[in-house]
Amino acid sequence: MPTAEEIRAEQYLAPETLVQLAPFELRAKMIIEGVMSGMHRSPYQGMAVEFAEHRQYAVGDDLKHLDWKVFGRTDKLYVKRYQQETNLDVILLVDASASMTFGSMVVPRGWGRTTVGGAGRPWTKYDHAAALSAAIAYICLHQQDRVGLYVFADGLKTILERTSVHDQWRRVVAALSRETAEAATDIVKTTDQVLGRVTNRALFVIVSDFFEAAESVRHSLARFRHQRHDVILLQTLDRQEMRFAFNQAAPFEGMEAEGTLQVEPRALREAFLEAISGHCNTIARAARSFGFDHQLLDTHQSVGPTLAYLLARRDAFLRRSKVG
Amino acid sequence: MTLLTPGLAVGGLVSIIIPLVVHLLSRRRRRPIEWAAMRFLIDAFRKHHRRLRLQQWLLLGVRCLVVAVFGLALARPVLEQYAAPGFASQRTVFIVIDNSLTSSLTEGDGRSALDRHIDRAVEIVNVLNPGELVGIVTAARPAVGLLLPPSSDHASVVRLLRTLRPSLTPCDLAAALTVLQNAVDSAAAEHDRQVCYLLSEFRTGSARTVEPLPALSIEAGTDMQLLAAPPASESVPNVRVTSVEPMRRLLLTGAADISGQVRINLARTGGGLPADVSRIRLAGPDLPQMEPQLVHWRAGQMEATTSVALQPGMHGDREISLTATIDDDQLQADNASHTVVTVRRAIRVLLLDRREHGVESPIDRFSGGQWLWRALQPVAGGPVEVYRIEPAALTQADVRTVDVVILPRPDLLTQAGWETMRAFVDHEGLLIVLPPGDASIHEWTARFTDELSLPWRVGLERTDHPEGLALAAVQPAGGILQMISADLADLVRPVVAQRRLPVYPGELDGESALVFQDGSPMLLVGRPRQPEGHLGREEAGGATDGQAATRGLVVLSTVAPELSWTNLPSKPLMVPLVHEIIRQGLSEIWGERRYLVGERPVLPAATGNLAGPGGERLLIGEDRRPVTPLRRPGLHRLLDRAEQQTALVAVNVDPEAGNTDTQSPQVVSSWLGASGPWQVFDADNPGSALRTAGGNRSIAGLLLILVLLLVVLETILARRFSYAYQAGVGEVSGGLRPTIEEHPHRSSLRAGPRETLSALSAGGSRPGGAP
Repeated sequence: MPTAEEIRAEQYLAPETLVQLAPFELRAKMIIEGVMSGMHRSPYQGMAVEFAEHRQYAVGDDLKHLDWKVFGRTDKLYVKRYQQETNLDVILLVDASASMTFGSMVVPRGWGRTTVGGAGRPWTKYDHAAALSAAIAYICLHQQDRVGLYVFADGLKTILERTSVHDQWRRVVAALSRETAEAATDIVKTTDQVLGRVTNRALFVIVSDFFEAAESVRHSLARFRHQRHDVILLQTLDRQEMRFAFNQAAPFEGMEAEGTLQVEPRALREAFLEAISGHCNTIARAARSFGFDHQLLDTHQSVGPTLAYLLARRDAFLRRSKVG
Repeated sequence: MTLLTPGLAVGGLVSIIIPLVVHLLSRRRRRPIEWAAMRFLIDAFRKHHRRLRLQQWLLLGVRCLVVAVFGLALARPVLEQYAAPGFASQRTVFIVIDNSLTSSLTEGDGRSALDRHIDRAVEIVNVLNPGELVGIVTAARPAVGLLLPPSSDHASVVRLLRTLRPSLTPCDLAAALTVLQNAVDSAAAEHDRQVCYLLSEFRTGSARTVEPLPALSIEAGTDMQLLAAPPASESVPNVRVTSVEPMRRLLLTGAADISGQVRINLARTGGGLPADVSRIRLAGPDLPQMEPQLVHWRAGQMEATTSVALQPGMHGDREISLTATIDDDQLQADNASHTVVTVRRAIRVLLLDRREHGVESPIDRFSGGQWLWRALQPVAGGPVEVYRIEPAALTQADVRTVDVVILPRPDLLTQAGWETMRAFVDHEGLLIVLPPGDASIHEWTARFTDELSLPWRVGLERTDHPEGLALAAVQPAGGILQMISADLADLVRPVVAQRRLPVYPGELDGESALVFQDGSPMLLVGRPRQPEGHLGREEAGGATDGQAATRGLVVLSTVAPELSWTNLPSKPLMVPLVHEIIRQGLSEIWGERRYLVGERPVLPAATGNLAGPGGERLLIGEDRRPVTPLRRPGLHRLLDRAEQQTALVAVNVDPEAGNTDTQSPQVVSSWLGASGPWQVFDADNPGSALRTAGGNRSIAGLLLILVLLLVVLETILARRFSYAYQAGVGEVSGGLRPTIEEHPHRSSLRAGPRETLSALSAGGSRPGGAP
């Protein structure tokens, strides 16, 4: 008999999404230090199963790594080098600030229930972040990786330690559904707290609207980069935030205590979109400058295709760079 | 700029509240929208709030302007065109003001009708543009071009208007229109538009609708507008003394004490004519103080007459002035009337007859002169002094001191004698002409009628009536024999005429005092006509009446007072007839010395000066008329060149001028219509006609066009500033795009990672790239 949390987790991870993500794998773009054998490159080479490269023999090399076939054809001594493969620590950093509770779309049938309330409530960015987290956790767990969850706002609020147990994704959803979105975002502080806890290289998936100063985001990414972590930025925005399609003057009340502003939205639409586009571009450029992936997501779109695109793009990148 | 209906303009300005209220209501609190991306909204707002606020104020201003200008347009504003002084203006406004006697009528507010006319005239002047001309004509007799040619100095015009005072004369609108016509003709060449205002209440006293008005001739191509004030609708009660008439204007004292009766005629008009009482006082310098007499008016009674006994006493030859007054009412100028009674010890009569020499003829052969001599002096010491002169020996000096000339032998009068007679008659003389009894052909009649400018045609040959021609039993009433009219029927009954001079019927221009049975006159009374070129008694605006009568009187008897002609000399009628002719003839002559205010009467020839009631001297011109019309009612003294008083004359207000009855607009309109297409203007806004037509241009149409443009502008701005042109929810294009959009890639994603990778490779994007 599944618990209520399990039912809720199933609703966030729709079968359709799983079908869409089934062909993909989430692979680390950098060498990681796993504790178990897995599908990801390890900094440790030698006795692994995956050939890496040839190197000329040097005095002192173990003769068992000589490639005799090459020696037979060329009379030259080459030593085989192998890439050790390990598992991946995927840490989901989910933004639970107050701004993440915005949503303009009533939950469609089959999308599950939101974290905020019952049916008929809007599908918030936090809901979308939960769905993303569940999907990523499911993929990672399926490829034997460890998945952990850090929920943050103006600091770390909830921590779900990394594990590769099969139902870890359900725990992730349960943890997210228990969390209440409130307060403002402090990504710098959160970064400090997170990096203080993670000592090995890991893949961080930050799911947030990044409604914070772009410089702070850049500063945090720099910290991740410095620690040689891989980061995926999933910037989740509601479609209304991307379109700003209001057509009547109304007071707009900030969700993070910015106050209330009476505006004519059509008059400010262009300026608003320019501002938010500029911010998103700045975030994207910052991520790109550190070699991180940045994905802008529309909460009115289903999770599956977006994640599939992300995974496919990473896979393609790894194939082209012949690193993977 | 002037507003024809300022209330609507105020309404328009007040209506500005409407967009303000709409604006404020649009700012009412709506349910707040919780918004996550507030920081970007604040950034956008900070960048654009100045522009947005400016747009809002601009939109609000345009909306307020639409309402205000629309209200202004409905108020029909007119824009006065500017014309620099010295340049020809487009309009000339003539204002004919009725300042006649009835214009002094005061109403409840204590202001006279003339005050209201002046206020309207000032309002009209104030409406005019600088440079436009104003001419003023006063319609009180004599009509005067008070300000002609027209002036462009509006301030002076207003000052001149303020100096106007009600006249004591009736309104002479016909003369005023003549003056106006002359002024319009003069101005027509310079100005293409004239507007004539006629300011009057058209009461019966000022607008005598029975007298036709001259038609104004408007030249072709002249834009002329005739505007008349609406007739007064409120009657004002007024009692006036129409006349003071002594039964005899000539009192002959003779040897006995005399007495007389004075009739005082009153009339009242206006109001409902309720029962009322008027007090009359008769006063004069030589009269003892009398108690006021009461006249009890019955309801609806319009005229009343009362008699007052007069006992002037015996103080020698003189003239007694009589003044009848009533209590003050709302029109005071006609509350008094003056007259003059002449008191003489005797009348001096000159009998121009052949002097008889030798033995006096028997009575049955008495000549006419002899019968007259006896009739004039039936008793010794009578009131008639008779002098007898041969007709052929007549000189100017002989008639200078006599009052009456009796001419029983006109056939003996020389041409110079006829000229002397003419001069005598012109100098207020009474000439009595009788045919000579012994002539069968009367050649003198032609010289008589020609020299005295009489219209009568008298036959040259007598007609005989052997059977006798009796006088009519019923004789003409009134006239020269009115004092004996009661006994006249008995007196004329025995009188029969066997001969007479024929006077052809239908050619008489005089009064028949006695007539025969066949209707032909026995006694004719008439006045010589003034020769061509002489100024008449009446003058209107400079016009002359060459046919006006002179002062003297001519009496023609068609029968000679001889027994061969008639038995009259032997009948009781003879003596009273002669005496009544003399006394009443002189009364009528001297009774004519009653002038009306506003006239320029022809004064007696011996008059060297005219002294007004206050002793002021009135200049007399060469035409023997006062240079200026008589302006003050009262007793005036005629002075000879030695400043000795020769006569006393009464100057009264025209009694008809004080008729305060109102007249219906239809009657007035019909009366005015004969002179031109007069239109009635709005009495409360006399300048509106000038604003709506003529130099002032209404800009209501322009304002309505402006309103239309403002509405279009408001629509554009409202759409622009409200960003209504931008698509609403669900129609928005553009904006931020997610990294992947669902639709374009959904099919490829379903196809699997390999196909997706192919698509990505083909697109050239790379991981970690910008969305």
